[in-house]
Amino acid sequence: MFRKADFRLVAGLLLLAVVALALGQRLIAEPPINLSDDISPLNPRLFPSLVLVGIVVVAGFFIANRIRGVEDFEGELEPALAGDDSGGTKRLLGFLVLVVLCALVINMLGFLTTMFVLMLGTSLLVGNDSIAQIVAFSAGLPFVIYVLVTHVLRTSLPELDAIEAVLVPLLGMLPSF
Amino acid sequence: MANVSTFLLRVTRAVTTSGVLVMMLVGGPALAQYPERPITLITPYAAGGSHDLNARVFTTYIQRYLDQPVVIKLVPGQAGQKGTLEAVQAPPDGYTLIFTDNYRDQLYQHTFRNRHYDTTADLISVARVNYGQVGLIVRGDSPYQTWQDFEADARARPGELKMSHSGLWAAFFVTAGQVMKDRGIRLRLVPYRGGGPAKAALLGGDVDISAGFPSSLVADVEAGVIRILATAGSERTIEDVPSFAELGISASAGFMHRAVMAPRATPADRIARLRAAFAELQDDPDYKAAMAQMGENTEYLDGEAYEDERRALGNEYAELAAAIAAL
Amino acid sequence: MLEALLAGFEAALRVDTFIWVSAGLLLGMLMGAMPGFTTTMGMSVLMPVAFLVGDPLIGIPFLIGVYKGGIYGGSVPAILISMPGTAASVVTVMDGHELSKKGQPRKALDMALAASVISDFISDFLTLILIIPVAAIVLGFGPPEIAAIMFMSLVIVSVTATGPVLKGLLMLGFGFWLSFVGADPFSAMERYTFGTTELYDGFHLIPMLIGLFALPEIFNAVRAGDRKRGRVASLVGDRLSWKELKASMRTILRSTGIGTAVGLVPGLGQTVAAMMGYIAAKNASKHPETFGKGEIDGVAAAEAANNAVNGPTMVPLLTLGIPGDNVTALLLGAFMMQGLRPGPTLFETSGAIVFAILIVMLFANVIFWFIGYYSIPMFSRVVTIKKSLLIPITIMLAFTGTYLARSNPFDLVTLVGFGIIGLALRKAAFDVMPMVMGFILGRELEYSFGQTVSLAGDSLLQFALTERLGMTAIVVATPIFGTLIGLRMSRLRKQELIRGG
Repeated sequence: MFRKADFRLVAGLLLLAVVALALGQRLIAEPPINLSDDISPLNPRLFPSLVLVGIVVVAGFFIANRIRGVEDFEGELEPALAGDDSGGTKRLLGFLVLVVLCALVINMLGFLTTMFVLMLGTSLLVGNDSIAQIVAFSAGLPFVIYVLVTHVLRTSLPELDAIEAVLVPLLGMLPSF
Repeated sequence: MANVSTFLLRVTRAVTTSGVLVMMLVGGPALAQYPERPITLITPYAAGGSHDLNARVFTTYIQRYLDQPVVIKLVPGQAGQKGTLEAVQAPPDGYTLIFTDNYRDQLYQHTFRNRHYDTTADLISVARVNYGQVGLIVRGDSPYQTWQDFEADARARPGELKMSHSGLWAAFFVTAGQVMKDRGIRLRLVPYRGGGPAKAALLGGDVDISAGFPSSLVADVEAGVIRILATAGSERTIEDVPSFAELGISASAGFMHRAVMAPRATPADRIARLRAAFAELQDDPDYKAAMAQMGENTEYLDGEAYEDERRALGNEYAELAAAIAAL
Repeated sequence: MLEALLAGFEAALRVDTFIWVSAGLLLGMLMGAMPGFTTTMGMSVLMPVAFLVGDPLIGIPFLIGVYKGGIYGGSVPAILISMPGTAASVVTVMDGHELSKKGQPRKALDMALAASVISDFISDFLTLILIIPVAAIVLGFGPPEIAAIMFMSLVIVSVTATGPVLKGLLMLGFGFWLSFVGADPFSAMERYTFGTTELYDGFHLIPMLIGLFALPEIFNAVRAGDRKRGRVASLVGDRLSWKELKASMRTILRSTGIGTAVGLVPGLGQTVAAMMGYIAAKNASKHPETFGKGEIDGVAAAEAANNAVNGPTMVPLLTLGIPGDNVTALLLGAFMMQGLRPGPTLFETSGAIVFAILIVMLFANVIFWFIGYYSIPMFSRVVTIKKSLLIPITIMLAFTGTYLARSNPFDLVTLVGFGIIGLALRKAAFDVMPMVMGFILGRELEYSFGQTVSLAGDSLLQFALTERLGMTAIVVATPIFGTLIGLRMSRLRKQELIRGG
């Protein structure tokens, strides 16, 4: 029972709720000016505390039910995920590391470089054999998206100053509205 | 022999080309004039609100005086703190400005605990574009024909009459607080997400009185849907409607100054350029016509003059916040 | 009024108006299909175009076209790569993507289009003829009613979630709590932000949705590896047949009704409508267990509901000049820039133009059918791209979309974080929908509740019983209603278990 995934999740949630309740005072700021009742709104602590208490109660029920052996629907939604293969898990972990790294460096290295690395890494992890294809797409597609987003959609993407300095005048020559 | 000279030729060409490129990249910015790319105007207000609409008008016309577009970036949220934070953290190169108002600028330091910025220290005024004057409004079919009617009822039933406003410590709330303080009445203030919902609440009958900017209520007044009981200031802006001063309410209450500001560290010459552009804008007949069509005034104050105004307001607001809290 | 309507008809029948509307629809669809690029952003970007054109009969229908196209556009990536293009298509992801996996992406896209167009048409038509009574109804919804309706929606969503009710409630609570992270809606006080500026505005919805729905699929694909050069599906499948469309007609009509009703209540929005439509369809279906596993009726229900919300949301804008959400607020700006003043006198001064705009909106749906019909074959080919290529593209789009939403690098952390959470939840058989709904409605419910308390004054109970009977009725009925539905769901689930084995 303690090994089942949903039990562990619920226990984790319960723990989180209890901690959040206990530390509530420090985690939620109080307004610096206290207004009289007619004009002051809800206290910022009220709803979170209510919800956390609710979570504790429901989690408690769930755990109590499990202990009594009631209602076991685990695995119903995703039967395909049962069973483990170590190769897959290693790939997944590697992917997670890649993704987290890319999320952290995107501001430093810029969009085009980071996306190149991300796509390259993912392609290899997912089993693409053709290096030419990988490189072509990993370099080309982010570039297309970059032009689309910054020029057509007029939204900014993080990019190195050097690259931007080269691209901006070039893109300025494209027709726009 | 031929190989060496061809080789040398190629090398020289390569070096020269790259040298030119490098110079273009490096020397480029220094040679160009400010502004050489679009300027972002952060507007920390809800879409469609009076700030948004005013901004759309003046950004359209100020292009003529800056030779670059000024692009509005709406960043609503947290009573404007999100947008203000973004503006304060932006590089102070003159390409990021913020469109704000006096309450956010000078009052919020007393009412919202904010460790991330200090508007007085971090922002400098470029121009006060115009101001909005708050008016107190009731439904067209309400029993209150004049402000005196309303006040009498409010005195008779303290804490029972309800007023909708656009958010804690925003223009309508502060005006309400000042009215309550100056006239000694107690109303129940109900928050809404902005002027639009506050007006809807009044029209739907959930509250008895609200506030609004008369310029945006012309159609409603004409149709008899809304009645204005009083307007801010010392003089009347509408014929039969008394001004605050006449009714014994502070004459400086209910003014929302809409001002464009820049991070304080922005180079002085760029600030000067911006200020000059705004000054020129005031003589533009199309701009004035567009503002008039929207029902807004163009009471401009240049950056320096508004800096003085800010200081004066800042001093007032500490007391005001305390007074409203004590109500 | 009637002359204005007829004059509007005349004014609307112009070729250039329809060309511009078509352009708007197409652009909107493409923008909606780009994850992370919300319809509001698209409209903001195109607003200058509308302004420059100068003619309200071109500029405003153009923007409205962008809006409508965007709502449908969001369902394209939702169905093809399990990534909701806009928040409104979250509900379409579940059945839509499962259908893609089964080799029927074209059918799913066709149904989404058909459902969207039909419901939008009906909803616009109703708005057109009932604009005055609708205005009165909308004003009747104050914070107490809104809070009660939100409460009811949340209970219904948790009770009808896949799996035991307790799990649904837990997800609801978690989503709720997540919505409180950030500044509180009244006094802007920091909650659970640990003093950081990144969390000051709370978690953003788009990265959370992309993380919860798209990333687990990507994770699974990576885990499985792909030595066999597999694809999501090897065929694009058949088109939707008339028979299938007719079979879902009842669902579409029901969802249209639900969506229109949701559109009347300020503050609920398209995602709530989609969710409610889906749940109603599931509840009314003879085989609710197929929902979530590739049930075409589910796609129809969700897409019909989220499009039907458009019509009524325009009403307070036009009749009172009060925008109900971001989109209508932008439209208000567009109207004012064209010299039109939405409000009580709008119909008197420019009635013909307003009716013309509404009529163009109505017919835009028909045009959209054609645009969609011919672009779907192209879109549906996406699933035939081999996975080893599609997955890297998907993760890149996930990153881009996340960044587009707010240009905030922290959102990428949200993306990955919720991707991991989504994976864990799937493994533990938790339904994510109550969490999403709790997150979307959490702060709104708190705000409406706070407003209600403020309106009530001294005695909330007295207020509830004397002045706001509607609210009281809903609040009392909800637990009863919820229990009944919950029991039915639980009974059906047990039956299915016995049958399926």
